[in-house]
Amino acid sequence: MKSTDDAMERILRGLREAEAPEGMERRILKGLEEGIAAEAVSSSGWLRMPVAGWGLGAAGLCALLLVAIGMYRTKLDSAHRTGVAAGTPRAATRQPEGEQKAPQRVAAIEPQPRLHVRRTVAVRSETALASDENVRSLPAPPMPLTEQERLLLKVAHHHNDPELVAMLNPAVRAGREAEEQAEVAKFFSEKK
Amino acid sequence: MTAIGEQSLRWFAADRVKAEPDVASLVSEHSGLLYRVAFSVLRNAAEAEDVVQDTFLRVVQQKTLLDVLEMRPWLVRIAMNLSLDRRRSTRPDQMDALFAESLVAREVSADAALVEVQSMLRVLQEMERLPKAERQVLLLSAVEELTTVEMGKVLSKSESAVRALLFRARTRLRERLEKGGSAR
Repeated sequence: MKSTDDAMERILRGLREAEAPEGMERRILKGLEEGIAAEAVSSSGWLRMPVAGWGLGAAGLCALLLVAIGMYRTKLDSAHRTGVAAGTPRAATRQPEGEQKAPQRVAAIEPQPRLHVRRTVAVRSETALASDENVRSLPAPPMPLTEQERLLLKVAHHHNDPELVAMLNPAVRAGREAEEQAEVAKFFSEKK
Repeated sequence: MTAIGEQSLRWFAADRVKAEPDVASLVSEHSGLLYRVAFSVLRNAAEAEDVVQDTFLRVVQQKTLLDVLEMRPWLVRIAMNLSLDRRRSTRPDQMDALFAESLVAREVSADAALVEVQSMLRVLQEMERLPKAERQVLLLSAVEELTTVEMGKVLSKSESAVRALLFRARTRLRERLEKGGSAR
């Protein structure tokens, strides 16, 4: 018991009586000065950079910005071209006339690499052909000719047929139609 | 004060707010206490001195010292925390052995000195095995420069709690040493 207490007291007394090493205050103050000076240099290092350095830095930033913008625009263009080449319905419906649609489709295929020039030309002609067919099918199909129009056509091709020429005379034609109606009426009256 | 100390005094007086405490005067006033606090944890002179320097570096990095209501407990708390951090990264067993050897009287024989060193090492080991709050109170009380109220402010505890912790620490340490250090 006594030895335990004695050991404890000696330890605590040793901790209590520990003396600071000689010159500790001086070393601490010196260390603080150095630490503060180093901190000041590190914190103001950017501000102390010469004007030329700032200029170079700004130029570099501008160059980076321009490159980034260029890359972005290139990417946008390629994305747009890809969309048009894939035949998106929006691109097709925007064009009211087929005559304007064909060159745009060709332009979408044109910027392929130079090695594929022949292929590009072939695709261009096929595309133009397809677009022409589409154009022709766009207007409504013609109405069937009337009887008179068909007669006129026949007359135009067969100038010497007197029967056809007589049919073009309204009086003759009216008489003939009246005869036909009379024959029909007669036929049905006989049946009754 | 030395020339460097006077220079520091001028530097701090010029660059800091005049109403703030002077760091140079803080060093001369509190460095001894902080050294003993750090030494009680680390049991090594060089390490304790480094801790004191780090403590004052923290003070300098503080934007203003006007917010610090009580300087002594605040500085002791910084030193205590820095010491505990440093102890984790060092080899405390070697430091404890050297400290125990330094406490043994030189007049005694080698055998008796060895026995004394062993018994003191046991005390130190059992101190380290105490709960954290009890250990810290015991170490701060060993310095005998802080009042119970100040110790409470350092450890963020009430005065009565500090007294209770100190009593429990001493009792537990004594019991463990008498039982041979096996009980926990």
